[in-house]
Amino acid sequence: MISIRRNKLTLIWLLLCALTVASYLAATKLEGATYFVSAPITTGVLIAALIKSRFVMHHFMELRAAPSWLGGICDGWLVVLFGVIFVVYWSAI
Amino acid sequence: MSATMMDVSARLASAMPTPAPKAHIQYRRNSKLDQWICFWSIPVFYVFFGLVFVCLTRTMPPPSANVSQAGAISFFQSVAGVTNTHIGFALLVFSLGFYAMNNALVVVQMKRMEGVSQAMAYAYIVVLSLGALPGCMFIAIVYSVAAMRPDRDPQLVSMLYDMGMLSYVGSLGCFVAQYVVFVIAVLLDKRRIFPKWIAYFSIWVIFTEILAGPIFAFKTGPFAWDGAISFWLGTVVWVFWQFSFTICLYKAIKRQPLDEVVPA
Amino acid sequence: MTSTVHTAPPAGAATAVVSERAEPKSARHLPGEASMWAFVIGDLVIFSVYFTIYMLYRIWNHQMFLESQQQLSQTLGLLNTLLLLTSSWFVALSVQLARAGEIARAARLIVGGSACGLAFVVVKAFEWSDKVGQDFVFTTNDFFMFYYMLTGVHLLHVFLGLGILLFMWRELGTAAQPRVAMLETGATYWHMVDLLWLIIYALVYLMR
Repeated sequence: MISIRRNKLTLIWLLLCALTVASYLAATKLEGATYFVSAPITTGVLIAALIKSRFVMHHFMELRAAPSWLGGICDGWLVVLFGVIFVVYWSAI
Repeated sequence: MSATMMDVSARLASAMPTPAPKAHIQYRRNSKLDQWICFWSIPVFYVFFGLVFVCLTRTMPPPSANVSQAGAISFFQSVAGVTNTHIGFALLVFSLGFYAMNNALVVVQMKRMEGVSQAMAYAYIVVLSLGALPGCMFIAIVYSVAAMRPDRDPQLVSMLYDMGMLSYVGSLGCFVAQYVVFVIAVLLDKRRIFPKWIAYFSIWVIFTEILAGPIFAFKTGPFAWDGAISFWLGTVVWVFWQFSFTICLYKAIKRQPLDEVVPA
Repeated sequence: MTSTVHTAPPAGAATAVVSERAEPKSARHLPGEASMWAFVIGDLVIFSVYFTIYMLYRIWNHQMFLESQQQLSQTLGLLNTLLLLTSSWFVALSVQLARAGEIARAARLIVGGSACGLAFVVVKAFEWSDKVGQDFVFTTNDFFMFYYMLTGVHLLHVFLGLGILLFMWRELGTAAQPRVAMLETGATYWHMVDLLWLIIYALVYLMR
């Protein structure tokens, strides 16, 4: 019987939740994290989102076991999207 | 027929001389000729569509949603604009009926599907018939009216300007039902008349057309009738879909056996 | 457009698969149908256009976006993110279990995943009605326009996803040999829904 507790997917899930809560805390509880533009907080939040997205794609969506060209396309999409988001954001700072 | 009747007709038949087989000039080598005629009307129609909306009437890409009355009036009243509007939309009104051939072809393919209720095919026809008026015909009539008399009350012209665009772009939502029945039919079809991927592509169109819904609430921005999301993205996705779909339809007709009887 | 169609081994086959190591090249297989992956990638591209447009409007009006953002319920946003992550976890486990033949457990996990998905919808409905009650509607300003439109089109994806999960549950419950490829296909869609939300959460709720 496959264990859920000692399962890699569970570990990934815990990691995703931890990253989520950390981003939430950074965005809402840190000093000055409310009415002001904050490049450090935003960068942290976006990087966390990027990491989470990659985990979901490679582990939940099983890209690790898929042909490498598919993983390549998905990674490429992540890079382009987050790249554009970063560029647009940083262009205004 | 009763036994007596059958006797009489049998005797009559045997009494008459068998006619010689008629010399038949075969001008139809391909018995799917009628379907192919309908099919090739599709690109013809779309070229027409393009000429009318893009070149003649200048309603695609749509004029700005953020204009004053003066802006609306000037859209209709440029000298070339008036004539082109009338010619363009008269042509559209004439040709729109032929688009029925396209829809009918799709419906026939849907009726060939196995494991799918005929209701899907009928729903497809009904939705497209319903959508034709707000989606195409209405702007033709309304904009022709607006361009007809240069001395019309500016408030009325401005209203007609809004009315045409809101119905043309805003009616996209009512075509969602067309794509929904199409998706259901294709995914359920055991004969794989259309490949599954065209059903998934149709789901993109469903979402982008739903996002054309908010245009009534915005005069500027991405959700206005000329907006980046409601109009541009929706149109790009739809054009891509239409290309892919036309190829699928071509293949479906090509693969259809010549002697197949489609259920009535 | 064919994928390896394999059905789950009979129940009782003991498989001690606890982790997924990256498969050697010869054993790589595409999860589910290729056409679903084409759909997913296309949908991701379409959403990327939405996100880019959102970012442009954001930097054009940064202060107003920041102030409006303060009106969002961060607690509910966090809750929703955790709900979708959990539902994705359940669905991923379910596919893994179905592959190993543990159909009953797989079916229960799909139910759990769907429950989390439904909870997401309920929380979203509550969040929206709360905002509307405070007079923040989609025409209030550009930020709220994007807030409602992005979370709205995402919500439509969730509804479709719930329908797909229902089909997956039926497959596990009624088919003699559940088709793993079909389960993988449905799961791929659901994970995409989760993925999109992760990005919406970061862009709409959290980023400063």
